[in-house]
Amino acid sequence: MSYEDFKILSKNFRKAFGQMLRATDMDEALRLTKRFISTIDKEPIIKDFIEKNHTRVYDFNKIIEEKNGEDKFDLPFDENEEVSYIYQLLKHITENNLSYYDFAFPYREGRKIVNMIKNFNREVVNLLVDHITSYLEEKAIKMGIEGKQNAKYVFNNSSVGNFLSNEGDVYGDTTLNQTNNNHEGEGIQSIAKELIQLLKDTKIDNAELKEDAIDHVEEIAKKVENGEEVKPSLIRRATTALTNVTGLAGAGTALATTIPQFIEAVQAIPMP
Amino acid sequence: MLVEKRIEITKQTDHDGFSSFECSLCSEGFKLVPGDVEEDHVLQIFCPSCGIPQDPLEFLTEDVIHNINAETEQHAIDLLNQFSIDLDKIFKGNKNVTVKKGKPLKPSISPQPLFEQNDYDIVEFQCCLKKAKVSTLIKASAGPYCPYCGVN
Repeated sequence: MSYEDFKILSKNFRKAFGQMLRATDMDEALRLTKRFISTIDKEPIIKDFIEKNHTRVYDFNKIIEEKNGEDKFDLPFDENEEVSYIYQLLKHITENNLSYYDFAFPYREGRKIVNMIKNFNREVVNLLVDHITSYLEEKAIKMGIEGKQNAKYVFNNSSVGNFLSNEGDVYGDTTLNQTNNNHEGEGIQSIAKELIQLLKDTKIDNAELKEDAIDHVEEIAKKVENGEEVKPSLIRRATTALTNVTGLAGAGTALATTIPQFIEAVQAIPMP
Repeated sequence: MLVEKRIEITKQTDHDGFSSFECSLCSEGFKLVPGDVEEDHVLQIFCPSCGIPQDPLEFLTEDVIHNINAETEQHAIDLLNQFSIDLDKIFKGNKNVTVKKGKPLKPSISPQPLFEQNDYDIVEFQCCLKKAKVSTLIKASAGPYCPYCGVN
């Protein structure tokens, strides 16, 4: 088997499980479970792994019948047995066209069927997937086809005073979006300037806290501008004051989003 | 009548332009460039650690989920409190129906400030020429899976 073939095998297997996780109704879930089992059975390397781990035959007719309706499957402690147990369970389900209701009911969460399917696959089938993917990785190493590095590590050379930023937002209700606000070349000075203005413009109930925060930010900006050492005690005082201001400013405000940027930049200042 | 309400949760990227994601299967955290995830052809993301593909929404981080729950609860409570006020106005002066208002409801959780830590190391996947940030744990593994094509 070539390096490429092995990578495709591993990917197809993981994709088959990924599809199972996305099933939204019971017919689709059963169809995708059949495909998943077929992916295992038609692939000699994976099938060999299953056979090596075969410890004993489980009577799932009896196990499901005797199982209390609210009980989850009692998975074996031993890893080999766990592989064999889950594989035989999935075989039994697919060969007998069982409805997910018949065996996955204890895995439900709320009224949605999709959650029952997903939870069963996450809590049970995922264990088998984990064993198989680990085996495939080990097998690749033993076969000597591991080593061609796909991921190359990039050294992060951003530094305070000259960090390039490409800021965006993640919107997390039903979509993921990004808005690019390119502030290339923006440094600690400009963040500090923006932050001081925001602090001055924002109405904060605790006047002393606001005053302290402005003073600390100004002092840090001045020291950075003059190339002087910014003492850790000053960073700590500034961080505490700004964190407290964040709590009063309210989430989502410009002030609440600029403060973490400043804190992060300040904490990254190299110590002498 | 069902009225749809869109609640936006925003979180800025870190200084390198990456946002945090967390696999709901293996709980491993990693970072991607939001613009890459939003490309039309990206329908699923492969976790760099376990390699299982899932819908991008399955990778929301705990802090974002917390704020989604907090904002949703706040909105529901606002509606209920407003309903109580409206009910009081409707039956004001009515001899047959008396409305006794209780204390306004308060949410059980509040939104937290969202910000990215500058952590993890940048890796570039040669297969798709896309970048990601991964933890030391993922780095130490046999090789992270590309979040976009699933190859390692």
